[in-house]
Amino acid sequence: MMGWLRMAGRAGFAAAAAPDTAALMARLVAGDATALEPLYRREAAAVYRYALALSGNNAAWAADAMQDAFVALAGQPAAWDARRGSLGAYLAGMARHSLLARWREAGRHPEPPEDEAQAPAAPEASPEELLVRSQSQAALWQALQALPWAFREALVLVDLQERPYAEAADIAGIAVNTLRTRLHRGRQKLAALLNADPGALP
Amino acid sequence: MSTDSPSTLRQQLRAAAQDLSLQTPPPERERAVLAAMRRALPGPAAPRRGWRPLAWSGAASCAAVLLGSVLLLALQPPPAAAEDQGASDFLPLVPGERWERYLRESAAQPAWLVSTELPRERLALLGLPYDPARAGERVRAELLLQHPSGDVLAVRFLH
Repeated sequence: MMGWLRMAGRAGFAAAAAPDTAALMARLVAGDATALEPLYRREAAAVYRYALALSGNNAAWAADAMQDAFVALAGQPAAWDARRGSLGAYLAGMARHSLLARWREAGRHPEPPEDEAQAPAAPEASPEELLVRSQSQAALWQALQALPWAFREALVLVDLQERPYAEAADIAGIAVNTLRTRLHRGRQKLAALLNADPGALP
Repeated sequence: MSTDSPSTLRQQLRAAAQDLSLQTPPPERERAVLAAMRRALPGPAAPRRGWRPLAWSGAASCAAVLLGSVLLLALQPPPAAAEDQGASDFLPLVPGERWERYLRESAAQPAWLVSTELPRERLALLGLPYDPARAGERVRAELLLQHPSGDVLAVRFLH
């Protein structure tokens, strides 16, 4: 339990904007195009990683979502409010919208089941195959991709990107308690898909 | 991706998080993103020609803003502006009420002074003298940012 908490609480993303980010954004609001590149270099990697994990390691989709987020920011720089969260979280939220739209265009259904009672189907493989697959990262990404969007998003934000619960909930547009629930169930479903030892789960 | 064989979900997720932290956007995408951002960035309003009524209303608006600014600035001198040589006074970019509140509480509300360069056309939008022949040039300026919101309170130009 404590391990998960340490992971979730690691201060990789400050809730408040760093002064230099705010200064760059102020320049952007004033129409200063020279602020674009330093902002991109500062935030692009985290946004890309979020989109990459959420898209199931689809580099093309992730890069497109990242680009959509930055272009939207440049188009309306004054829309970001530092009091409502970090710029990284704001950009991640916009990348999420882009990815979600593309997901829907592809005919998929990202909304989580309301009752969340139906467990994912067990992989059709022998125990030996399951063991081998569970020992590879590829299997993890595959299993993540098999999860419903909401569960995968919670796992990506908290377990893979190590964002604080409050920031992760803000990006996903849900309450922190809902995030915790999705995280818990997502971990259980992922463990079931991977045939992993769920003993370390809270 | 890593070839480690973690046995618990926690270990697998940690390994995946580590792998993910090494991923970077495709380098070839950077140029495309920056170009798209430049295109999307709202430019300064283009001067309107041949539409006299609108031009006059713009001039009247600029004059009103300038007059309001002068009145506000006369209430209390902006922080550190008067002492600096080669710099204009601060021009408030927020509603007068908020600017007055900042002036009243400036001792308790720290602010940042951020140097930047702005298109010269911005001068016109602020009601300052503006030479359209030099529209492409940039002018040095300083922005007064409120802490911790990062809101731009005022701007001043350096000569």
